[in-house]
Amino acid sequence: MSLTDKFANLKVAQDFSTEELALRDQWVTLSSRIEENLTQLNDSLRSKTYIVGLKPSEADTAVFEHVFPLAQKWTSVEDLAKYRHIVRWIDLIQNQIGVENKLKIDHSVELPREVK
Amino acid sequence: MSLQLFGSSDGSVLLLVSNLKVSIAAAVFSPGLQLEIDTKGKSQLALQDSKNGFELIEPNAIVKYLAATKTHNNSVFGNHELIDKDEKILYPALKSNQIDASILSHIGPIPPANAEDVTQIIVFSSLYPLLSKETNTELSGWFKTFSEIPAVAKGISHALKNYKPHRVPEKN
Repeated sequence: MSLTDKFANLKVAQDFSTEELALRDQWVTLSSRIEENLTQLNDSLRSKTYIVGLKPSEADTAVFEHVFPLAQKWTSVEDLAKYRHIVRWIDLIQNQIGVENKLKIDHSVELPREVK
Repeated sequence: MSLQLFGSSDGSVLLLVSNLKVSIAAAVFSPGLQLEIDTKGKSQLALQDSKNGFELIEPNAIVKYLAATKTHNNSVFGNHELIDKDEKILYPALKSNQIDASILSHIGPIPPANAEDVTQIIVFSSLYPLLSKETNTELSGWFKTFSEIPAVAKGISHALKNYKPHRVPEKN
């Protein structure tokens, strides 16, 4: 089963506020150039469960598809610390959709305190 | 008003276009909101709501959000052919600073000038670096009419304030 097929397991919400729709549109647009926007994505996910807030949306699937391969290369403590909120979000999505080659997250790694 | 709009200018064409998009949208849909440009190019383009921490950083999403909050109509979100062309054709050309008249054949016709049409605000801004110089194209009539709509002219004026373009070295 391809990653795209697995996204069917993510029950995306249907009712969104104007703010949620704007965030959904923004991250669908930015998903194709996500490498330029990783810091902003990490900052945005600091206070959100999913990309638009509390509800899964098409933005989660679009961004996950592009970020997941990049995150496989984040092995240093620096990278994990820098993108800690993205990693937390990837873990949530990969468990919900049932990815086979999951991103391995070592919860014993001690990350430096976040500077906001 | 709890909304604030920040732009950035490092002299690049891409940032000019981003500033134009949000500045025109603010002038059309939210006249009390004015773009504040950081001329040192350090801060990022952003629409922020100090009331609840809501923030957008992508110019097309900002244009749509300002339109939706003014009109109370969320149909601006979703698929639009012209916005799709803006993201897939015009954005890469602007980013690599390689936009010329040949790109217009990919854009196709545009409806009569209407400042409240988000697709026109977005495409107008992306074509501004080209069509403000090339005055003899099939889109020149639409471009001129659109640019002369008072709210659009005001938005352009705010975005161009303090803009100093990068000098591109001439090739021998």
